[in-house]
Amino acid sequence: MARTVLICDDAIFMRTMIGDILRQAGFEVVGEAETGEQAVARYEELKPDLVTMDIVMPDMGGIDAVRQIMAGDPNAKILMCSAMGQQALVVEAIQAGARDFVVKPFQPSRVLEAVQRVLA
Amino acid sequence: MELERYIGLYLSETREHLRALNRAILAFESSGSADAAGALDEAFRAAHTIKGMAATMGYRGVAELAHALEDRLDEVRRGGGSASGELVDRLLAEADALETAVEEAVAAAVPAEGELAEIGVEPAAASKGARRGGGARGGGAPPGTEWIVRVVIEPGCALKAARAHIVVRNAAAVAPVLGTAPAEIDDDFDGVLLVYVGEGADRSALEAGIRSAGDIESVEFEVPIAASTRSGGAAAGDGRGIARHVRVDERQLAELADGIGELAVLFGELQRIAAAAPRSELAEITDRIGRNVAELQHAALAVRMEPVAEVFDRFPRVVRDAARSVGKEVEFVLEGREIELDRQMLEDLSDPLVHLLRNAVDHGLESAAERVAAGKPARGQVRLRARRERSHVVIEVEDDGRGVARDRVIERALALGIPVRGGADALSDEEFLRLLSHPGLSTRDEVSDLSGRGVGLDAVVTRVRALGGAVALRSVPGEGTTVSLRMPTTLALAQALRVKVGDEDYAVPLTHIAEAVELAADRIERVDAGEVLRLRGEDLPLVRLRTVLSTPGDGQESAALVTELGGRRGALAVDALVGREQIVIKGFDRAVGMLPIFSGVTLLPDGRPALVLDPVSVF
Repeated sequence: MARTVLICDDAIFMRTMIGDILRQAGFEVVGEAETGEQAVARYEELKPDLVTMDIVMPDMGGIDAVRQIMAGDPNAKILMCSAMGQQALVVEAIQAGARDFVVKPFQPSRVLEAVQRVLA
Repeated sequence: MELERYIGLYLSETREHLRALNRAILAFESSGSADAAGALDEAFRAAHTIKGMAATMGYRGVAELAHALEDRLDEVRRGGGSASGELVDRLLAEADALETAVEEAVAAAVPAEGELAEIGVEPAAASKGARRGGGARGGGAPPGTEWIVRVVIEPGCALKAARAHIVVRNAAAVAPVLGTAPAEIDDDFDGVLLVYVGEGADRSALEAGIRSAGDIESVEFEVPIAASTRSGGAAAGDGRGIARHVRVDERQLAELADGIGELAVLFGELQRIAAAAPRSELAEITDRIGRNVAELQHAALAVRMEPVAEVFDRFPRVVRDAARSVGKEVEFVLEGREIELDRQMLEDLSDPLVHLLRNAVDHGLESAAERVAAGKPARGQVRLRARRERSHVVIEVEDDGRGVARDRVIERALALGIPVRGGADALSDEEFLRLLSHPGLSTRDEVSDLSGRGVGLDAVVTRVRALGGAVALRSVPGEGTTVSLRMPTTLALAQALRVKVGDEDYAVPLTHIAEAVELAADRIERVDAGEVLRLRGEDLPLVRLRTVLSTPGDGQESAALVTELGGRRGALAVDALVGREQIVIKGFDRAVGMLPIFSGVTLLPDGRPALVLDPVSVF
């Protein structure tokens, strides 16, 4: 059975791109979220194998979303998607429980490596 | 910075080899044509070893000079090797230039006083450490640190600090992490992280955990420098369960150990007298002294022991540099760093191990393309493993490469006129190893910067044998090669056979003795090269110890020791066998012209000194 993923990003372009990379690697994209609050709600509803999480999103940011998801499911596997220059935020996300991170611009191979580490 | 610890060792060893090089060049000049080749081989080995050590220390200039000298010697060797004065002058001048380069490289590498204080103490890291309440300071491991894990993040990694946080988190999941350097990992982080790990960590799990953080270039394990050797270290002597170390001159330790060894031997004599005496009080006090002596002896031996990490920890660099210079990707795995070995032996094994590691990278592993074509991971693996095996320590250098191309080696040996015993088809691993270690034999046509010309293995076998060890080779085509060194754990104690020749007693360590047999006259046959002893259908070359030692008078030789090393067997005739006993070997300074068969001295139970013999050296 294909592994499931929830993609959280406020930009459609980014969601599409990440979705394409993961679909090609055999994942099933079961849901998308544009805000932190949506991310938390959809996680509880879908219980995906993997979550990709943008850091800066409207409403609730990605880091708070990580905290809330982890509070509900300590085994959640979350991969942060970050831009350069957000190192401190990525560190915070890792301390909040995110398993790994990738940096934009994305290279498919690096995204997949990170995904493999997250799911290992 | 880590390499500084080895400069003293490097320098003393290199000087030794420089002396050997000069001696060999002079021997070449004064030798007849028969010995010229041997002297050239010797000079070549010395230059080769100097090159390997310099490359390990990162002294490029020295390594290049040594390489040039090797080339010159090789040229002379190929040219039939006659020694004109002019040629010898040139060789000696090159040896001098090499020596100068060594001294200069070392002088340049030893930092001045002021520099030393700065090393490892980055102001930023130090102040942050202090802010955190005295956790890890730059350059200093917190009390209780068992491992310092040096993690280098790939230079191309974005957000290195974030990656480092994952490293620390993964490490903490499988091992007690006591701190890091830098203590706080933020935007200033440069990609090199030290993780201080407390006792009880499973090394391989820890390494796997750290590597799984991704973007990791290397993971190296280091042992913390003993607290008291750092000036001003807070951990020094605070008595919280950390052993305090004091510095003692090594010679004093050796004297102490020797004294205890002699005491043990004399005690044996006392015991014999006490057993024969009627007084039970004497027997009682003798027993008590005996227990004390045994404890003392144990303690004295423990002082000689040192974890192999002391030497092994410089090898990741050796392998990495070797891999780079031939453009291969190599994963290096160290196992059994905590295994202890006699300090002197460990130092003496350093060169041979460098040879073997470089051989593994250079000859053993295939190129990435060849590996992939053969269905193997592109990245080759080299493993250095130490493990205890009863009273021995086995050190193995293993690669997952192509295996030794037997056909090519044999073909080449035959082409060079080297005799192949038993023929190409029926060659055992031992015999093959002997062939491989023949000076001047190599399966590679071009000469590489590395282990190039097959000279290394020859030196390895010679050195290991001198230390009482044995070398074994296991090679499976397509799967890889393992070279095992089986070493006694200490140089100081040995099981030995006491033999008599004339009026003298000699001790022969059992390491290379397969058996002792009766020497019956009808089993001895004369052949062209001398005598052989016929034993169960096998003809063993027979050497009479009386002849080797120039013992005066006619004695009746009654026994022979059958020696065995790497498949090569021989028989050594002695007057009589006295018995088997444990001896304490004392090394000595070899006098000029002394027979190579003498390897040390020991004390006999009656207090007389006796020479220790290396029987294999005569075959």
